[in-house]
This record gives sequence, C-alpha cells and structure tokens, in this order.
Amino acid sequence: MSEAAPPESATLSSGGVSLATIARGWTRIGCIGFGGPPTHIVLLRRLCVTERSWISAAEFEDGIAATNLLPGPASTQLAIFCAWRLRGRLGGLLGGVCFIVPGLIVILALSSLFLASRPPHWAEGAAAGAGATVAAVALTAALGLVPASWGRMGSRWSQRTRWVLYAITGGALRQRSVLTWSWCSWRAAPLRLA
Amino acid sequence: MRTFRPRLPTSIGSYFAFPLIATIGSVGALGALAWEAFKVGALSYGGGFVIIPLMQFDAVHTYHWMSNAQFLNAVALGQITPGPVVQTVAVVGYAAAGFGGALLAAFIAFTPSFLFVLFGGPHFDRIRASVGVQAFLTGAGPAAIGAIAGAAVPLTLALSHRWQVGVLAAAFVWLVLFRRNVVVALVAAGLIGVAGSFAGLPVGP
Repeated sequence: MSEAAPPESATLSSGGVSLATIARGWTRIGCIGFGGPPTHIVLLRRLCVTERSWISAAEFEDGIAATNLLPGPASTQLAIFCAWRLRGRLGGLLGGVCFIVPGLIVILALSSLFLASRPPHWAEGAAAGAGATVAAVALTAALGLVPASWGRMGSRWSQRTRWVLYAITGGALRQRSVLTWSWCSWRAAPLRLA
Repeated sequence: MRTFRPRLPTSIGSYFAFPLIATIGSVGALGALAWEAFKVGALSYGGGFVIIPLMQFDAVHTYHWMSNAQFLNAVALGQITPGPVVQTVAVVGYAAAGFGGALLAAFIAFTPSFLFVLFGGPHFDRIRASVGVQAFLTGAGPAAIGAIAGAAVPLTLALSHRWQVGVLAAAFVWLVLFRRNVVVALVAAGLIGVAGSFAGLPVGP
C-alpha cells in the first residue's frame, strides 16, 4: 500500500513517523476537533507544521489549496493528505479513519437518542432549540465562502454580474444542486479559459 | 352484511413474493441513500453545509426518511460533534435504515475523499494548475453558496413553534452580525430548549 509514497524533496522530519504515532495524533484531532474545518486546519497545522515539523508550512498551504479544489469534505481530505505525506497510502488511510471515527461514534450515539420514536422530553427540547439555529448557521457558512469565490470569478463588472446570477440560480434550484453547479461551471468556463 | 377478511396467500409463489418485494424495496431505499451520500462525498462543493441543499428535499419529502424537524436536528448534530461536518449524512442514513444505513452513508460519503487524496495526491500540483478545474470552481462556487444560503428559507419554514423564531433571531445576530462561534450558538440554543421543555414550552414535532 505504501509504495505510492509522496515525494521526499519537501520532507522535513517526517522520516521516522510510525503508524502508531499517526493513529494517536489523528484520533486526538478527531476527538477534539469541534467547530468544523477552521478548527481542523488549525489543529493539523499545529501538529504537523508547528510542533513536529513533519511538513513545511508552504506544503501545508499547498495541501489546503489542493483539497479546496476537490469535491467533498476539504478538511477531511486535508487530514488524509497530511497523513499520506508522512507514511504513504497506508498512513493516509489510517489517519483518515482515525480522524473520522471518533465523531462518527458520537453522532451515531446521539442519533439513536434524538431520532428515537419517543425521545426523552429534555432531548426534544434540546433538539428544538439547537435545530432553530440551523438556518442562521447555514447563512453564516454561505457568507464564509463568499470572499474566495468572489475573488476567483474576476474583477470585471460582467464577471461579478455572472457571479450574482449563478448564486441566485443556485439558491433557486437548490434541489437540483449538482446539475445547477455543473451548468454554472460550464457557463463560467470561457471566463477562465479566455 | 359481508365482513372484510384479508386474503391469505394461496400459492407457494405468493409466500415468496412478499419478502421479495420487501427486499427489493429495501434495496431500492439503500440505493437511494447511497446516491444521496455519494452526491455529498463526490459531487459537492462548499463544505459540510452542502448537505442541506443536496439532501433536505429528498430525505424529507421524496423518501420520507425523516421529518423537517429531524433534519434540522441532523444538521445541528453534525455541527456540535467533533470531526467532519459531513458526517451529518450518517444521521440521515440512521433515519433511513438504522445503524446499517448510517454506516453505509458514512462509508460512501467519505470513500471518494480517500480515493482523491491517496491516488490523486502525487498529481495535486497539476490539479492546482489546471485551467479546467479552476473554471469548474469558478461556476460551482457561487452556485453552491446560493444553494446553501437559499436553504435558509425552508429551514426557517421548518420551525414548528413560535419561541423557536426568537432563538433563530438571536442566533442570526450572534452568528451573522457578530460573526461569533457556531458551536457556542448551538449549545446555548440547545440549553434554552431544555429549559423551555421544563418550563412547559412546546418542543415536540
């Protein structure tokens, strides 16, 4: 599995990192990584760049940029990427699993409580309270994505108009999101290729 | 007056037909769940919140795996637990088919990420330099943002009790205007809900 190891040129002190070390480090981040991708990036950077010097700061930033280009959960991909940099595919697989599993266990336990046919009254209250905030949380998440996307579109007036048009189209056709994204990407391609 | 008596299967074929139909039905449901999870894991941009525009309508209205209130809980659970936000798909999977559904949904949602990085890692430089990839994101980015922001409308309409609107307004001020911590907002709102349940506020669906 580990034959497809990453290039050695940028390796700092990653030579002797054992799989057990990866398992411990990534499980710890999976356990304390509350708050979504921003927290995960901070914890991964602290472990891999600042404290252990396993990966250079430049390569870590490259990893963030590359995983942001991939579809799917970017911070999970960054966790897999960092572990892959240290011990190839086996390390990446182990690091990713250790990062995901702790939260998965917690969320399964909570699912069995909150989605029970007759949940406790206090649990219904907690769910109703936390659930009430979700619309605001979604709006915050969307606003957080705006600067990078706005900057990528370009500075011309026509490009900015298209950005707004695509955002409105995405909002109006959200039930067909994948198709909408594909259409917007196809329409936007000439802007980048020009 | 004739009384209605259910007819029992009268042939051996009928005895096999019902379990077969049930099996096909459950396989179909798992197939739908797998497709929903695959969309989140392999076809989505915009982080864990894309689960809302991608899954809400199908999970609630098309397949009836969960109610609107339960979907709100699923998103909240994905936020307050550690690790990837995308594991909200496990909650939807749990609602659709129990623990097996949860594990299936999580497996399908995360597998593409492993494949992308473990096999695409050596080519990341080329991916970053690709004009095609950049072009794709140029269009997909604003559409994903619009989809996530637009999801706030049905999420607001899904609230069942008047006091929840007050909690939402407070969360809006805390998160959108003051740009403060999401986990704190969710936990505080959950505690308000617990207090409300003891104070006699309606909390059920």
